[in-house]
Amino acid sequence: MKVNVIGGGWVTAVHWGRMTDGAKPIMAAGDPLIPPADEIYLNPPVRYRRFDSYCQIGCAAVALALKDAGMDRAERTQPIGIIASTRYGCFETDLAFYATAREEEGIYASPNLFAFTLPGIAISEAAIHFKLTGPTFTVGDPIGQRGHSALGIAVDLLSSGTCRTVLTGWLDAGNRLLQQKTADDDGVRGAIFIALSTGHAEKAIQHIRQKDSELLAESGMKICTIMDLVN
Amino acid sequence: MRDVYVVKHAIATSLGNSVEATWQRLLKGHSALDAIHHFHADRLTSRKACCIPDWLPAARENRVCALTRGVIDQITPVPPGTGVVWAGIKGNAEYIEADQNIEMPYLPEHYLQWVAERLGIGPTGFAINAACASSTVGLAVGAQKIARGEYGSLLVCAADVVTRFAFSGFSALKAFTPTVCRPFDKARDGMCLGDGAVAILLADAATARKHKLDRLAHLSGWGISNDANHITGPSRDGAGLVMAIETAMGMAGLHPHDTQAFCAHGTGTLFNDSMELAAIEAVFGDRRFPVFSIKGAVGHTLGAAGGIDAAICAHALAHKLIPPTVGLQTPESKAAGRVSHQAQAFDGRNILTSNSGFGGVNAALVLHAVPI
Repeated sequence: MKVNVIGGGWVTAVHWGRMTDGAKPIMAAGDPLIPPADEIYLNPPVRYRRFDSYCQIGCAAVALALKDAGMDRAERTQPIGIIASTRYGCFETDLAFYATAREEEGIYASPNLFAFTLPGIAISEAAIHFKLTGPTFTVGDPIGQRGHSALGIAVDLLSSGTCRTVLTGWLDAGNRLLQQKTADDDGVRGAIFIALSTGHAEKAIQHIRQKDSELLAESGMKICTIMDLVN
Repeated sequence: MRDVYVVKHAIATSLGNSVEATWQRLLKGHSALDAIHHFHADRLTSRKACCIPDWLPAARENRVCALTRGVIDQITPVPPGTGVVWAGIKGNAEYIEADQNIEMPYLPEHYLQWVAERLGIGPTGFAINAACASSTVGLAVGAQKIARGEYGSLLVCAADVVTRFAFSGFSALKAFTPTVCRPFDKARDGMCLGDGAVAILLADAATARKHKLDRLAHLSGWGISNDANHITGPSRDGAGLVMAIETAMGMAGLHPHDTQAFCAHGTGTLFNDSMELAAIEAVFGDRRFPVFSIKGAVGHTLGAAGGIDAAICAHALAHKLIPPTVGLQTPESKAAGRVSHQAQAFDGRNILTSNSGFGGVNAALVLHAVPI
């Protein structure tokens, strides 16, 4: 089946941007920039000031993708899903939370931090803010295939008719507290989300096709990572 | 689209190290809630959980690995080419508690690899995190991939353990019962945590036939949604769960009057159970049929919860019995006539099961008995 790519947005260590601006994301090692809230949101999410960097960049990239697709005005619920690929998830926040829980048998454990110790919270905050009621969860992908499994699952959701539009992408924040990164860690952090739809053909920037277990770009090239769609 | 079947299942809970062992103690109304011994909880809002004693990790492993080893050893062998879906959600907690000083798995991909190596299959698959609905979502996503023909078989595997990390967090949220977990009870006052692991092998009919695998249940429908309401609190009207349930039932070809039993998430908290009852009323109206939760018996097993529920549902279909909701004494009004502290005879052919989690995720599955 053919799927329309109708928008995309990203936050990297170099810049942030949107697909329809004609720009392409520049990936580099280092902590992603946090875009000012007033440049990304009409009104920032309610809990924005409590967001860790993982939530900030994840929500920002989702917001940019929705804006690019013309779907960022959250006037009513929309059955749009968000499937994000992440390797480290909320590890940094996990470590920050445990620092509050390790002493005095845990009586000072922070409930606010604990609420953010699941990798899906970043996209859940986006779902809450933009009133998106479709499937929302994270998937793991190896470094060399950032966003691959999430993309495949997103297309599955579209092809099964579960959703008409799905945001999918990759998200990994800086993690200074994690002592042992994986051997193949290239230090690149950030978030890239694209909006896929079986409708909105008039907005399509490009198309992708699902053939058996593979996803193919319009050129016929096999799509391995989310970067293949935004570069 | 191909039909998807549960062809093997294995669980480890605080009631027993197999589906049958857990089932037998569930029927007797046992709860494994007991004092925690492996860390101090005296100053927290609860001192109890449903822990599995005596799981000894091997070198470079942890308790999640030890529990997982127990279930995949029951499942093995699996067909060549089987993919793996890892759905445990806090596999990094023990690593963090060890101050990152002990070599053990700590990323989802480590567990995926570990399971695949132990089964002697290639590490194809992916890890899913959907909070406390992770293994439910894993089963749904896995079923979709089999239905589409991408895989002939997929193993959905999850394990989570009671760690100081999670326990202190839920204590800080004041989520625990200070007494006993009582799902859907008028006097319910909170949840309890539990150790748990699950491995469920899904396959299409051709793969099942080729490898002489018994079709234990037909996974006929699934649905996933988000409340878009709050990151820790469920929506009061259950609208998100309604969406997931209706999607699953629609896929399975079930009308509200056809559904014959419901295995609920049923954590025993005021808000979760109210949300689920609101969703039940929204979908099924006044109709009374068996509804149950096993969390009063085995605790909330986080990522493993949905898969453990699904395995119990498959067993319930086979044995034509709905297990009691352990801990229940007086059901609240919407639960009356649905939830029981006793086992309920059941000649139905389908069971709906659902789970919900932080971040507003909801996931529902429909399991059908396989015709003989």
